[in-house]
Formats: sequence, structure tokens, C-alpha cells
Amino acid sequence: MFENMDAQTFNNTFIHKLDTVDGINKLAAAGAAFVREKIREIGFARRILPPESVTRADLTRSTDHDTLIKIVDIEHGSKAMAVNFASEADERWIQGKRYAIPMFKIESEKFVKDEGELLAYDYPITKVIEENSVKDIQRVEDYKFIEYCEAAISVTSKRVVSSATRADRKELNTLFKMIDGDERAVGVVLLNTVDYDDYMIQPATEVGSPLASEISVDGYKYQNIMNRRSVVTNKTEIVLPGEIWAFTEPAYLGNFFILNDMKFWIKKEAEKVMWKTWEYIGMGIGNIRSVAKIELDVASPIPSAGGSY
Amino acid sequence: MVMAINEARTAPITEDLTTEDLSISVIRGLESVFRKDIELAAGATFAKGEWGVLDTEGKLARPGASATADAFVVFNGTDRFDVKATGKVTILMGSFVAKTSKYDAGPSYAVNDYLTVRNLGGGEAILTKAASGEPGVGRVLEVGNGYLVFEYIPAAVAP
Repeated sequence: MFENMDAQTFNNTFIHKLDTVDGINKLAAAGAAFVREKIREIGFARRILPPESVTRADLTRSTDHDTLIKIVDIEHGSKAMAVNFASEADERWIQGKRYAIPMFKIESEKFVKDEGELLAYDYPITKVIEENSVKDIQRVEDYKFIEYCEAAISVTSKRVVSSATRADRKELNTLFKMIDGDERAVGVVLLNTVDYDDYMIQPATEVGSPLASEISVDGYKYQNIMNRRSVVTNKTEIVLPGEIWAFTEPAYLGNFFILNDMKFWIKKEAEKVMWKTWEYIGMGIGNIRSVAKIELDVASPIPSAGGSY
Repeated sequence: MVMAINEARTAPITEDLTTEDLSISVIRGLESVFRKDIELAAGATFAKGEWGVLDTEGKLARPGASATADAFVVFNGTDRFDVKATGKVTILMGSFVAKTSKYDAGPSYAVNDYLTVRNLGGGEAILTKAASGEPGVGRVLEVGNGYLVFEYIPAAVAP
């Protein structure tokens, strides 16, 4: 609807459309479409644990309060044994395990702006929506995801503290073995841009001259690191420099559910324009042994900050 | 659906859900063992794998301080919806061999040790090692990492 339109014209049109009910509906729809597309590109949790859509019918409610959960099964164990002809194997009463994923809401701030002031902006209002709503929401998703991963490794102890000062293959190897050595396989490695930068300065004696030469010119341009899909984030407040995470593929890791779709609300009251965005999600690391972390002794990349992480 | 929050099994998860539930896992005799529902003594609650004794009304009560051979392991505990509905827990009777992670971790165990049931303090009612001459409920067949395999022999007396 707003493609090929300069920013000021866009903002003007935006305000006029808010004066009609039909216009508000169209703007809300356009905003929702835009939000959904962008958040899939930038949330790292979604790249590690792709979300599934659920509806109210998929969820269970509580008798004690008005909240919802999604109950997910954990694969039942089984085994075989060698026995004599006239003997028989052990018996097992099937007793499946499940876990509950509580749904919760992530909501942007409610943005309020005077229509006159809105016209003073030289960039499209969609940028504002993106920067102030989409990024806030995706950041909370990622923050909760890492919080849940921390809870997992606090139980499994799949956390190594290393004195190494930068990410390299040796440290990643230590990280991967915590999962690969537990009858699982690392599918994804999550690291921040600081450690990714460090990974690219490995000497030719480590990675070989062709790759070192290539990295020096083009950077590390592969999607995989040591045959594991890499997810690089610039959110160093959530994934601290020096912290590198490894995960299995989603089927062995957990679940991420979105109830219905992300909602975008917009309203004009007199000269005030206000809007907000929210979603209902639930996520869980059902298989806590499928997560591991290594913590390197990485110095602060900002010299004036000093210290290390 | 009525649902209480099980903290360890509600995200964020703090339990390894890939491990086998060994509260009480019958590995021999599942087809022949008797699974009997029995009423609860007033105020009594039981988790799966705990042991109870019959009171004078034939209801399942927590065991007393003395070792007893007249005890039954709980197969369906009071945390279940159906037990809540019926007011009865399910106990196991008859001959069986089982694994359990619910045992007194204080003593050291060896194969052929006799096991008994008593109030271990605070109402805790799980298997423990029987002293010489004490009545028991079974005998250790295997000492595993965090579990015992035992043969249920009610009225056994520890040598």
C-alpha cells in the first residue's frame, strides 16, 4: 500500500487514513503484515527454535486463573536386551512424561504522537513501528529464550568456563562435545558479533592459508561453522561476548508457540495518534540436555569500558 | 481440566525429562501382579513409589516407626486426577521384581540385603535397609546408579 511513496507523503497519508474506520482497519492490517515479516528475520530464538502457530483449541486452561498452557509430550524411552531362548526381557509400564509451556504476552509500549509532530518526521512511520515495536518484541523473545537455556544448563551442568580469550575451533570443539557426546548432535551454534569477529582472525596455521586469505578479503561468508548452522546476533546484552551456545536441531530441543497472530492496534483520537503491538507466545526447552554453553574470557571490545565479560 | 503447577515440569524446565521414571518400575510380573485400589486413611497422601500399611479399617496409612513387612508400594499416587476422583490409591500385591529410585539413601546397599519399610522421619515412607531380625518386604537384586532392583517378598525376615 505504501510502497514507492516518499516518507513525508507516507506520513501525511497515514494521518488522513486514520480519520476513517476503513482506513484504520487497512493500516492495522498493513502494520500487522509488516511486523510479522520483519520479526522472523531478526529474532535469533526463532532461527534456533522455529515457532509454531497454535489456537485456543490447542491449549489447556487452569481452574485457578485465566491463563493458558500448552502441554507437550516427551518421547518415551525404550531399550532392548540380549536374553536366552527360554528367558524374556524386562517389562515396562509405559509412563510418558510431558511438560507445560505457559503462554504469556509480549507487548510494545503504547506509542503516542501528535499528528502535527508526526509530519515533522523525515522517515516513514513504518520505521518507527519497526524500531520501537518489532525490535522490542523480538528482543524479549530472545531474552526469554536465553533465560530458559540458562535454567537448563544450571541443571545439566553443560557449561564450560574457559580461559581462552577468543573463539576458535578448539573452543567450539569443547562446546560441541557436550552435546555430541550425549547421544545428541549439535545443529546450531549461537554466537554474538564480537565472537564472530574473533573467529575470523584465526591464523593460517590454524585454518589453512586459502581460508585465511579468503576471510581477510571477504570475511567468513559461510552459513556453517564446523558443519553446524551458525546464528550470529548483535545483541550483546543478551548473548554476552565470550558466551557461545550450542543447540540440537529443534525436534530434540523444545517448543516455541505463538497463539494466533501478532496483533497491531492503532487509534486516532482528536489530534493524537497511538498504536501498540503485542503477541501471545510460549516457549520451553523440553530436552534440557540439548543445550550447552561455553564462556570465554573475552576482553571488552570497547577499550574505555575496560575489564572482561 | 484441573491442573496444579508442577514447577519442574513447567517452562523454564528444571528437570531432565528424558530420564526414566523409576519411582516404582515393575520389570518382572506386570502381567500377574495385582493392582488394587484402596481407600486412603484420613489425611494420608502418597506419592508413586512410597509405601503404606493397612490400618484397622483396611485403609492405607503411613507406616509407623517400627519396621514392618506388611507394607504395599503405591503405584498410582495421590497426585493423579483419577485418584483424586476415586479417593483411592493403587497398590501392588503379589510377586514382582521392580526398580525404584525411592529408597533411603543413607545406608549402603549390597545384593541380597533385606529391605523394610518404616517411618524414616517426617512421615517419609520409602524402602530402607532392614537390620538383622527385622521384618522386611523384599531383597536387593541389583544396586544401580540411583536405583535399587528388588524382589518383593512380603513378610521376609532379615537374617
